[in-house]
Amino acid sequence: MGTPFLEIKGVKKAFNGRVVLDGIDLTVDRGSITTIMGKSGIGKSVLLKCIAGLVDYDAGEILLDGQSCIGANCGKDSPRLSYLFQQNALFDSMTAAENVAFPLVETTRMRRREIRRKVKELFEQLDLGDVANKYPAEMSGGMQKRVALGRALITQPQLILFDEPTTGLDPQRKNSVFTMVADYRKRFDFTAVMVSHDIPEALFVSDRVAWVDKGVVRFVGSPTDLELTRDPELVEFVHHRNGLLSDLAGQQGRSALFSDWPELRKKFDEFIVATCATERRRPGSDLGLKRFVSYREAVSSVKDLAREGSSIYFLDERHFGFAVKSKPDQPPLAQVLRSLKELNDAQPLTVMTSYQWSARSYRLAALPSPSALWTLEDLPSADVVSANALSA
Amino acid sequence: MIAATGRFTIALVREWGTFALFILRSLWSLLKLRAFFRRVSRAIYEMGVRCAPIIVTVGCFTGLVLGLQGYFTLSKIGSEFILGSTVALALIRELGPVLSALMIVGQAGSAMAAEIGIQRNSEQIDALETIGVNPLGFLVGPRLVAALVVFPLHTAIFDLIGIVGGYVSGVMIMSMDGGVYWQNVYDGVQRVDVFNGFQKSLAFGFIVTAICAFEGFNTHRKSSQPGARGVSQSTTRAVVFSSIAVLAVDFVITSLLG
Repeated sequence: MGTPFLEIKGVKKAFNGRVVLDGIDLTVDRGSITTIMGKSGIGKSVLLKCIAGLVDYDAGEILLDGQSCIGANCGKDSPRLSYLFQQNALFDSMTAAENVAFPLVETTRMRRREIRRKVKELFEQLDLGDVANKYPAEMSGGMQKRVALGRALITQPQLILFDEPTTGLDPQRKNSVFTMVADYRKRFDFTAVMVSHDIPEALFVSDRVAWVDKGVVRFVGSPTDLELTRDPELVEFVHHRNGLLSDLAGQQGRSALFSDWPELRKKFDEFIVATCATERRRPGSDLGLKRFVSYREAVSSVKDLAREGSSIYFLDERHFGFAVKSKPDQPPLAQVLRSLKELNDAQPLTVMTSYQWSARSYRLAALPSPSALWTLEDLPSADVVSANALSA
Repeated sequence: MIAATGRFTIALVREWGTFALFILRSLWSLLKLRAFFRRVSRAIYEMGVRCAPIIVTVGCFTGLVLGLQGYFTLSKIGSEFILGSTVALALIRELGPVLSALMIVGQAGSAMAAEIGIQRNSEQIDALETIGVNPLGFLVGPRLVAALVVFPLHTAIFDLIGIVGGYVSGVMIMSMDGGVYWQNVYDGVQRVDVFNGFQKSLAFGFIVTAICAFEGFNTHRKSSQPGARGVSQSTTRAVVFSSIAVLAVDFVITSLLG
């Protein structure tokens, strides 16, 4: 990482006088996953197609590994690029195996036997063994997505462009796709640029996030930077989804925390933030939905702790917070962690086992505003205890 | 009014220019096409086999009707003995190439436009580009070559079946002498008639295939609505424009060749 692999400089594109991209500037580091976000219809996919050479841009420059010619027709020395289309774009008259083999059959002089071997190998890696002879119409959406990814990976590309890879998938499969992207990025060592609306799922696998609005990149940074941003439009864009999740979980969300804050400081001594997915890159089967369910179960479990007048807030999909009163004989932090750990052990089959539970306790008096909770890492007084350490 | 005419003319010229470039690029891409013979044979098989039943059926009925009508008309002036050449020449010079072309347009041309249109809508054509495969060479070029084989072949089948149909109605139904019929066919049909008929079918094949492929390939650009309706529009346009083109080109070739 660190070396700019893809450089987009002042790219402009208009369709029939309607400006879609109005000077996009973005760099993507080698080996990273960069997610481009933004409202529908603001030109994210157009930008991806400009990168792939499928759409000619009106002005600006796109350099891939320092070369301006991007695409499959730029010679053998040009960086290899693959594109995972929103609707997979599998060739419907070919079987899954033929689809995956297609780029090798058409663009290399490789022997048939060698191609078959490579396809078989990739099918095993992608866990696609039983669909090799099926046509796209006979496969589920998730399977099609994996076959499309297989077709994108077979040429060992240096850059893969993902155009809304989770469109039309259920939450469980959505998270499987994100997990797959993160996992295969490690295994196959490619750089990824992804367009996605899925917050926060996409953020878990991203190194960098770019927010495109009104034809320009309004924000670029890490997912943590995104959470800390104070741009009101971006905050609304990012957090309305979390708000929905908190509603679904039946818990109070961030906005409630903001409004309750003055009261909390009066009534309680401590605010405990529990983190339940400290390793963002750690893949797990059927990641998201089970995690979400487990999270809710975790909250419910902790809710039962005997603490009079305690209050629980749903901060985002990974964090929840408890405002509690300190008692010398019953340290609340230890209680919370023990409870989470017990739940963890009680349900070893859930994805929760993949995560290290941790929590930080803050003196409410020391926190001037709830936004300080957004900068957890910066608080030197934080008392960090891991659940596993506690158990040991 | 003048401005509207000007805009229409410019749009028309631009469209024809785009169409000409589309054909040139498709032909050029054939030079780099892998497995040329395999792809062309497959296109011949798809286009040829798909249309064979309808060509045989329509050819048969055309010959039967032509035989009956010809017999009734010619018998009025006592010339029914020239029925064989009348049927054969009508089929070989005009009806064979034109009707078989129209049948192929309805059967294979519409299917081609719809198939390529769906591939365009489902981003399969974009996928080909990102993989490094020229979509024109992969999807259009082989079909253009295949049309040059399939159209004359189907025209020949149509002509033969039609002549046999004329024999059935003239000889077997209207009791005309069979030997007279076949001798008249033999005497009436010259090599140049057959040659002109095949020239027409070659021209029809090339133009019809190019139009159908062009309409399908540009579904996203030319249709006012996306998705299935867009494909439906491009298929309709492909059939209508191809049919008009067949008749127009037939007129031009007939006037030039006589």
